[in-house]
Amino acid sequence: MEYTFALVGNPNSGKSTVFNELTGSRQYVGNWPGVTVEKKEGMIKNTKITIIDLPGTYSLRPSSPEQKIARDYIKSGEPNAVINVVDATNLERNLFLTTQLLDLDIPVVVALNMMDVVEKNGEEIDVAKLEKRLGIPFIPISASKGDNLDNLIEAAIKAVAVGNMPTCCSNCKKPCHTSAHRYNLANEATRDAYKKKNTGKPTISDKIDKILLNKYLAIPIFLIIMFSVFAITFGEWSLFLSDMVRNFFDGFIKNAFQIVLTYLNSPSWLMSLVSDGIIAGIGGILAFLPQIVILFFLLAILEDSGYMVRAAFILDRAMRPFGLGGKAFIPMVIGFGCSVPAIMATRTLDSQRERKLTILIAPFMSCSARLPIYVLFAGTFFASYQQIIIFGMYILGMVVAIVSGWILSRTVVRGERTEFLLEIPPYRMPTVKNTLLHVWDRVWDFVERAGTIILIASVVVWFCQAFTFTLSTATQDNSIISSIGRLIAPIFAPLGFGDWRASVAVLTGIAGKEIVVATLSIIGGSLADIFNTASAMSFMVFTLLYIPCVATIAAVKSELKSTGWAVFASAYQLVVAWIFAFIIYNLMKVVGL
Amino acid sequence: MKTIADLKVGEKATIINLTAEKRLYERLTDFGLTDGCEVEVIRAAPLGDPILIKVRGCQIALRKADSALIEVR
Repeated sequence: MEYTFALVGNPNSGKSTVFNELTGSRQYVGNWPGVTVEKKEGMIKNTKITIIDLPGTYSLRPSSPEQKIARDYIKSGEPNAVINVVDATNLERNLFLTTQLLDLDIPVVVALNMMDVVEKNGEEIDVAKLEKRLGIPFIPISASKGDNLDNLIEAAIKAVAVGNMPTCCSNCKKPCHTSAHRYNLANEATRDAYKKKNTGKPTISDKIDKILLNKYLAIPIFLIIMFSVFAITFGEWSLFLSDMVRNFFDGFIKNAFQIVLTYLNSPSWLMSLVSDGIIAGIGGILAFLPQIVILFFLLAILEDSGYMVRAAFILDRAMRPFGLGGKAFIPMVIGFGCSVPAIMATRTLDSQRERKLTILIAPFMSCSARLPIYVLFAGTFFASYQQIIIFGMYILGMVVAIVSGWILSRTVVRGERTEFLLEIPPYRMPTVKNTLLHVWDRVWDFVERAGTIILIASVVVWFCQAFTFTLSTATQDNSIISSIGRLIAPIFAPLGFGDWRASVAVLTGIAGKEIVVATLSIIGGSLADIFNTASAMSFMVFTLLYIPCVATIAAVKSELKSTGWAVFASAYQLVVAWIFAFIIYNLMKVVGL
Repeated sequence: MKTIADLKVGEKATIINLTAEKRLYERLTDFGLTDGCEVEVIRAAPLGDPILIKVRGCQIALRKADSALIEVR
């Protein structure tokens, strides 16, 4: 038989972990409410059972976009039953959603998750009592250990066969469509079935919060943590690893290909394509893999442990003057990795206005694709201040993002202030598996980009610099790329980099910001011929802030369902970048650099 | 009328009424902030706002302005 089961549950209830265990897929799981921002689909191995992981939700009112997706899907008739993942350690709040599911005319089976934690705390839950009171099966499981998931699926299949669909009211007489009534039901069921040890002692999580959320220590600790993330990511040894990768490509890989191609009597254009185009382009990018691995590893730990959500709590007040709430902090930090997931993460924000604002400013956060540009330029022109300059770029991106929030929230994205409501889950020890999955996902994404879009761009750039418009072999002065570069160069002349090579790099960088560096290495020539210190700085600033890459523009368009806003975002960033680069360039010239 | 915003850190009270408009009312009640429910103020953020409250066994952060819409006894 074919079945489709929908996974429904509160944010942070372990739904994604259940999904991963059932389907064997590698969905990343975080410890902040709202990690699953769109529905995901997977099949249980060797069966015809499809599992749909819906966005986590506290409720099924159609009032928020996330809740509406979940509700519409459940009622669509596509799923045969709902598997309601319930965090047993947080039973009462989780059962509220269960009472709503009971009203949707679909068989419901509860996966009572985190039972291992309940037992470890020396507590007990009487499953039979819960089943009797709510009239649906409760299957105790531990998703993280994979315990009892077979029984869960069996119960779901059985529920479909029986077609038992009790309503919330089958066991009670009062009208039950108010939240208060549903919560009373959840409360009674919990009190009845859950033997809690009420020690009154603060938990470990409470003790950690005493320090990390302490009135005087919270902000200094936050700053130290964020600074440490940078210091570790861009420390000496991580730059050293980068050099190793770069040398590996420039030396070993390049030589190996040359030997093979020479042996095969390959034509010289192919040799040039491979070593000057592909290896130069991709090698220049993959050299940054060490930093990216380290950065994502640290961000994963911050997210998985539950610190990120606390940072949102700490920062909420400080972010309000800029039209943002504390929750906007999370997508912005994700933006240090990549703007696309950052834009997706805005789905958890409370209002459409705040989402729009965050989507417009998140691309200013310096993503990992921009890192190669700073390392290359700072290394060449400001070698002894390299780390400070790189750090400064990240700070500048943040400042521009925040100031943009201030400006945009007073002009184009005006609107009423909204509430800030956020569940703060207990700290959780990040698991090795989950952390590595998170890092792997992002790193794979980066490598995949290197192998696809950057590869293609490298080939195109190589072609355009090797040939003229009439497809004869080009010199530097009559190649396709130099003609295009010369055409747009005047735009950048006031910023100090009116050289056609710099202009072309800016243009190709729109396909992906890594391609800026790839283009410069393919075109060849020393950076010192193209830039001086002032224009190098202005170029870094410009590439930090200018038009986001096509993937980001597409994400802006699809998330805001508007081409107009995507165009606005690109135009706004271009103008901001131009102005900042202009100011920096002229300031540098004035002080004589 | 006393509201959650008036409670000191560590103080407990029982919700008696919500004066929020419909949308916020729904969100607050979804989080379990319903009449008759006990709340405890756990702490305030370092800048004094938002505050962290304990309700139905879990911790929820909300702004003072919003907590002033929740009347307690």
